[in-house]
Amino acid sequence: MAGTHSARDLSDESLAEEKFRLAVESCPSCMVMSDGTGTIVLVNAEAERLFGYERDELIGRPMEMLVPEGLRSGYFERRSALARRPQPQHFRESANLFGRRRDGSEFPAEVRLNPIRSREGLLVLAVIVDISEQKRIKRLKDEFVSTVSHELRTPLTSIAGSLGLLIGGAGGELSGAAFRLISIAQSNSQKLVRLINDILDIEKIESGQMAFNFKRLSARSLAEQAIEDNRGYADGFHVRLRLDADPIAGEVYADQDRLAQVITNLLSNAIKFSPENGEVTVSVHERDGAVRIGVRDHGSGIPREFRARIFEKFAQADTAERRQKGGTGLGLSIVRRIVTRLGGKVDFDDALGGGTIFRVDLPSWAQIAARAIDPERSAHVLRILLCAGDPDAALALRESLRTAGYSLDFAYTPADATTRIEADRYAAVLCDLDLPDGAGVGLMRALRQLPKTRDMPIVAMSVDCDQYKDGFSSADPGIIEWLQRPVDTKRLVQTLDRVVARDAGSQPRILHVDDDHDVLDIVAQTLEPIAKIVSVDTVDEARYVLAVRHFDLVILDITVGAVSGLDLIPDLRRAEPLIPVIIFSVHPADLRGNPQVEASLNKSSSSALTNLVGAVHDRLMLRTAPSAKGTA
Amino acid sequence: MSATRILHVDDEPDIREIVDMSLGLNPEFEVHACASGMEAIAAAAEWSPSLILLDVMMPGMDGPATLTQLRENPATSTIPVLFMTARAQTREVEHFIALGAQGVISKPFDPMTLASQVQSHLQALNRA
Repeated sequence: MAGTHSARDLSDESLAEEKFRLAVESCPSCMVMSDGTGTIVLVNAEAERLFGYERDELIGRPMEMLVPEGLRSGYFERRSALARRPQPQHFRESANLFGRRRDGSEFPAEVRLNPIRSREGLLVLAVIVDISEQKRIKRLKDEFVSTVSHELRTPLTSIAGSLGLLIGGAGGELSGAAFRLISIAQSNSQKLVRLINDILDIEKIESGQMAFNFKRLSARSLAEQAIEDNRGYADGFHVRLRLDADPIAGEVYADQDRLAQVITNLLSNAIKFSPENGEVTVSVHERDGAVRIGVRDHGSGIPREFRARIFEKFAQADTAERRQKGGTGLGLSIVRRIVTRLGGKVDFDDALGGGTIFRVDLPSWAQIAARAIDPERSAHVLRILLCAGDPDAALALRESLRTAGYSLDFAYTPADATTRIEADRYAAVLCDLDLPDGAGVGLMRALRQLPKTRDMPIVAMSVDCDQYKDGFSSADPGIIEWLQRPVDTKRLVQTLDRVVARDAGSQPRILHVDDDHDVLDIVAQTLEPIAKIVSVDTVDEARYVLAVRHFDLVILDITVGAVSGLDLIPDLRRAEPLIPVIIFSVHPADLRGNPQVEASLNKSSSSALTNLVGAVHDRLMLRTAPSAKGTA
Repeated sequence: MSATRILHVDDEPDIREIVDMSLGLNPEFEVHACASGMEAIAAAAEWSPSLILLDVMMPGMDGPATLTQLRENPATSTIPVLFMTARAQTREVEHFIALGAQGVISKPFDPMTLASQVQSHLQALNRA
């Protein structure tokens, strides 16, 4: 009896497996699974169709064959991040990812990565969607919206202008009824203007064309100004406006026009939905590194069923009362988009004692300023100073340069930058020339004038480098490299390597791969006087840094986490020129048959470091060979 | 007292008429309208206006291209120019100023205050 039972269980299990296999195979989404070394282990029919390969051309091959060459450094970076923190990830259209077909053509892609822990280690299931068609439709929509808006605005200028002149008496005195009718027409033409402006704003934000000029601002002064600007509007509704602020400036780092737009949108909503003779309060408080701007009304509150979609486009509570208030249904949607772009968040709640309060939380200037110094920098990496406006973009750049062996500090203004350079030692300055008011170029000029920074290498980035080049002569004593935006990480790293190497007399560059941080540290310290060392603790990170820059030598541990360091050797063989390898491991393998392997050393031996320095010297035949410290 | 000459450039006839009436609210203004950048360049050299109101989006030669040409001709290089355009972002306004414009008036404009806006720009320019 027990026997038959288990036989049925078995067949149930294989049936379940078969069902699962068929589900994956016939799934209309492209699925590619890879293992911990980045080798493809499973694909479905849609993957074959999308990329144009046969199944056996994919299985057992490296995943990066499906990634365009220019994007591989980013791919290795994401893999290594996923290995460090195995969590599902979704790269939407904004991530700008592309897939590469067998014939070399590329397509824009949306990618979901699902890490799966299995008995064989970490597996990654990638679900890839071709979004060419979506992107084409979105582009058509954006063009349509912007054309229609411009075309609408022209006749509207004439209509609003004519009505304005009539009401102003330019066409003679109007009878009471005519005046009333023309007033209705005028106020509606103004509403149309607001609607078009809002639609254009949304379109600009969504297409990334809205420029944000980040500056250090007082949220309190901005709130006071917004109250003044909206007082006339509030008077029309017989509503009082009041400021309730801590005696602080509430300093934030934001775009003045956009933050004013946020407060104005919230204020005009609050005014519209206030009872006659009601009061609207704007508050500014600071706590826990955040500045909170509150706008509170005493209206009838937000209907329950509307709350979930209040920040969506064209969301208006569907009641006659709300429709009559003259809103565009876009105000809160714009608010949320701007606040997100400013690095903050917005929410709302029932206010104590009735009414609604909207709260905007922005990181305080103090918190933004505290991020300026890289908290994770280590002693062996080169420090670069970035002078740029957008704090979120700066953080992203810090992370991608970290794996390439650079530590990035930020300066938000040219004055900050000169102070930082006075206080610290930087290998180079990275300058954003697209800052408002020509601040980037101003900084470059200032650096060239100070004795301490006259020779400092500068990497200047702009969407239009040519307009700035003329201002700097080729006889300039220091190095200036110009990078046209958009800048990818690989080009940036190569440029930094170049300027820093020229500055430092071009030392050889060594990549050290080991999962033991103590070993990484001591080897870096020992070899620091004779070479530039980049230390990484996973094979994926090694692949990433190898993809973004050239190395003269690799020092390789055999066991790196759950992966074999030897997996890297085929990658190194593909490099031009070939990169020599020194194995530095507890169990040095006999790899003398491999022409690339220069030496195989035992890292637990008492003379390990001396042997390593000797091998490095032999290999690099160092041009200037000062004795390395710690090897006497 | 001599009239203040304002040259207005816009390819839309209706807008030309409304601007003409709006500026007419100030009796000291004498207004001449042009329908294109080419026309405006010729009229500016011949008529020597005190100020030019220039539309940004025009077929053929647009506002910025017209301004560049005005600045290149010694006869017109110092005439103040105000652009008239849809609500511009700070960066666009900075760009217009960098091209040599003195300011921006946004469209749709308030016809009852256009004349006084232009007047205050002129006063600010005279003070400078």
